Amino acid sequence: MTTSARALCAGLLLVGLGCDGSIGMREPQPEPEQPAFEPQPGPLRRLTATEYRNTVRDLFGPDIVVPSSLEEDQRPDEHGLVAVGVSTFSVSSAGVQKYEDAAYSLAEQALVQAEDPAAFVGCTPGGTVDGACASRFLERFGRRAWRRPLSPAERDRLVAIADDAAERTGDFHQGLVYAVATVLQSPNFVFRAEVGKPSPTRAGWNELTDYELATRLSYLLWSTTPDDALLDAVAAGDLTTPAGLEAEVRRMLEDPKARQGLRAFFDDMLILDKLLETSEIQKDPTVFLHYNAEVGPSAREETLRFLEDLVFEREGSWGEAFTSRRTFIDRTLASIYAVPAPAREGFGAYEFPAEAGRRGILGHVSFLIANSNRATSSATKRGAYIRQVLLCQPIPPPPPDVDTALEPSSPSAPTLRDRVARHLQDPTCASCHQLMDPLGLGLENFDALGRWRTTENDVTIDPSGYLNDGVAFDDAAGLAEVLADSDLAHDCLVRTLYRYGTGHHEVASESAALRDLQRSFEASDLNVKALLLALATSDALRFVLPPSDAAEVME
Amino acid sequence: MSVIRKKPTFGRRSLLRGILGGAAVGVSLPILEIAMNESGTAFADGSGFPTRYMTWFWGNGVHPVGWGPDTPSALPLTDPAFPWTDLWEPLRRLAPKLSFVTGFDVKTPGQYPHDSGIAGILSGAPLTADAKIWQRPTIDQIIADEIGGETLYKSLHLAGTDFTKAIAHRGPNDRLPSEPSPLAIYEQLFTAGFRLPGEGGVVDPSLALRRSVLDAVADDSRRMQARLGRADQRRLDQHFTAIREIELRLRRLEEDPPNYAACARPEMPPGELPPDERGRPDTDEHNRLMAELTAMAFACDQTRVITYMLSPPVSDVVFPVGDLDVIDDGNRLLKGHHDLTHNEPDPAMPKVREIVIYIMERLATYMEILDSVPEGDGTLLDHSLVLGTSDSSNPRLHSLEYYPIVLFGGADGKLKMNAQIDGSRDNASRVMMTLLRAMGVDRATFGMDAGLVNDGYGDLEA
Repeated sequence: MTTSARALCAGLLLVGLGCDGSIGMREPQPEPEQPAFEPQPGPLRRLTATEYRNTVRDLFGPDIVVPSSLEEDQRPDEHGLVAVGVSTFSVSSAGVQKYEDAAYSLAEQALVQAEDPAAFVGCTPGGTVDGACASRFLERFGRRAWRRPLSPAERDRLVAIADDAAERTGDFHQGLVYAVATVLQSPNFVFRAEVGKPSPTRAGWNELTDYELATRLSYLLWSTTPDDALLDAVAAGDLTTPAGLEAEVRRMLEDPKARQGLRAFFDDMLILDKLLETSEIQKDPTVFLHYNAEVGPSAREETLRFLEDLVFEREGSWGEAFTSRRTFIDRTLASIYAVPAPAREGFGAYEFPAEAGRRGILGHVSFLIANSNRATSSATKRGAYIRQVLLCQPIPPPPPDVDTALEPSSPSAPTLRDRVARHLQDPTCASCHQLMDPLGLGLENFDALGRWRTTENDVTIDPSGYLNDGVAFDDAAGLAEVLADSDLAHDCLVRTLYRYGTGHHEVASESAALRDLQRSFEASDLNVKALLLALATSDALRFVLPPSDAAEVME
Repeated sequence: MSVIRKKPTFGRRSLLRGILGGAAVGVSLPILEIAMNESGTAFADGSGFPTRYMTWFWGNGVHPVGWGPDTPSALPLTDPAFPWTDLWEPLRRLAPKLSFVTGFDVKTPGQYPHDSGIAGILSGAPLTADAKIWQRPTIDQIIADEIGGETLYKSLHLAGTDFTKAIAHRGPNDRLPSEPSPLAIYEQLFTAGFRLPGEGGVVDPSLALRRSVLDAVADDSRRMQARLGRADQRRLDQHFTAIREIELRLRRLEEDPPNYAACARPEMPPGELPPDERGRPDTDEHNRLMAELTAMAFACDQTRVITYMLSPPVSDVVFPVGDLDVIDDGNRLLKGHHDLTHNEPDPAMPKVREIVIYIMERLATYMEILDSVPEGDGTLLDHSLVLGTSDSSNPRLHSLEYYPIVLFGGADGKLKMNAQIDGSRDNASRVMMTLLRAMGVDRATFGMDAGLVNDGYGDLEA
């Protein structure tokens, strides 16, 4: 068993994962000669469920009821990004059927059930069939939905569908339902293709078209479709100059939709969406009287509000994500934190006192409940999350045929630290567990619901731990300082945002672009808003390689 | 997001419930005037009924001390001397229509606990070592490619708990998630254009319009495809195929539906199944509703291939069974299934045992519901092949040896029922190969690497 486990770890080392304990350290070494940046082909990205929702709200107005039954997004692995999943996985046939159902539901709400469909369409039809009115509407609607102007042929085909359906149903707006359903089911809506055209300046590279670039920016910064101003800017050629591009990105970052965009990114990176799934976050009701279905959504909202405030209101350092005592809580969370609710209704700002020991996102209920068991905390789950999500260090799964049971608590092993001791003694377990458990044990003052505690089974909890051999800490506040100062944590945010913005896992030829972004992030004192600007205006976002093995272009 | 959608709750006094609520099977569904398919595919002797395939999956394996008798028995299951274990006992009432297939190993490596087992048994192939990617289609999809072309849906994928995890895969990065909402399945199958046998009525005029929309969408798909790299072309091609499937479905809805006598519209399921006072899901009712929908989806020939996931791998579902309190940290805790398989203090794991018995009871109920639908001289179950299996054998160690496999229905007499068939540590892929052949799929091999086989297991055949 031990042999096979070692063989597994050795095998994983070959592909870049490792459990030799050294990955926690970044040794100062001379900058290696780095090859120049070369992009990757742009992936075909399906709109995430969040992007779909945001987009149809922009297309139809805030009152539209978005069908909830769309196929769920998939992460490529437990801690991977949905943004990468949507450029990897296919949609199932049931999922495609759901797109059809959703398209008709949306179109009928706006065109049949609405009190004044003409207001949405923008013209009053002269009869059952009015090709001119249909054409004006579809041109405008299609440009927003497909993130580019329709070709005359595309427009005419949609008008023909609308006219034909209007004739057969005897109703102009009913006819438009079928044209709108076409727009919404088209791969031009459901997918974002990032192909580009041969670059005039970089041999062998493609440059995204301005509409493709605007779309990339819009989903990166806003998590929704470009607005008319952005599409107009493209049409005016504003994105073709570096100054024009930067001005447009700055405008986008000041738009309220940038908050929505940031929330979507952190939902994805920090796996906060999981907190909305009651089946994913289960707590034993007999132990946790405070726990109910409200806790998960409230906890997610706390973390998102906190990060939105950090990035946009205070433009603080990313390090504060780990060390801040300031947060936003509602009554549900206040009862778990055992503090007075700052607002009678909804969320209010609250600052934990310095002696409280609760710091940053690792002190949030969101992280603590999602990375615990039903009734007990888990140093391993918490440590694995820190390594993989916050430090971007993959941890392989436990080897096969290993009994992963923890001994039950007993007088000889009253605390979790005692019970996971074997993880760090048995060399088979220790190679990986030394990367997780010592981090997670630093958070043992928080139970499975995130409540503060100082004892477990009447024994005082020892919350000390270490990131690696050289970097130890005494407790959760110390762990927060360690992470706030860690280059790994800073680089990981940059890396994750890069993956989110480009829809793929970076390869070696892209490391120069990552390094540049990481340097500018450090130079900005870890200002996330500045990082968004740097990424949005970088070559990495603008250039792609031509698609590999593309079939001949038909058009 | 809770997947079970909120809808007004209707009464549960369904047509089916009358016959399915009790163990006895006797009440027949109304036989309509047009009892037989006009195209003559379904005759009273049953020979013309299609053979259906189903995977019935549960998460977290069986039990550390195995689940069958210590020594394989050559006796028929109906023999009074057959050594039933407590874990098998719930299935006893289906003895003539089931076989236990024991002593087979999943030979592919178990590098990912639980997931490697699902891939190993259902696709015969390992997951990729670095990225955990499925490399081969699951058995249900191989079968669906062969027999799924004539029905409204090539295959359907259901779940008996509130999880969407996929146990069906068409190939790399092409998974088919499970649908946990009985109401969603009901709406998919029995509303929007569905007509009962003999039900006339006007063909919904919107069906033709929807088809013309799909035509335009398919055109867009082809145009976009031409600009993409090969991997994305394949992904878009799958999208395109799914659009064509919807078109085909709409065309079929415009034509006459098949006229199977047993086809009936089940009662509309409730949109929500409230948990009990301790927060445990109503898996009894959820399971029963999915079984009824499965029965009618098959009986109305809406599909011929279904997968069902009672619970996902690694799930900490707390089944509403007995008393799962465990003393831990000085508290009495309600424990989930997966947690118990690793952390139940008593080495005999009596609570895990209780859960497996509960799961086998759900399996028995499901099969009885399929068996209660008369078709010709037999029942729907007789015209089906159901593979019951899990993600591991011993869940504590995630082992892949002595894999739990149970078969029902026998594929219209092609497989040996009423028996324990022991494989003496042979490759479980050989069982899958035999199932494929029983379903009329002619393939030279199944699986890859250590899971690759080119022959079935003769003893399984009738």
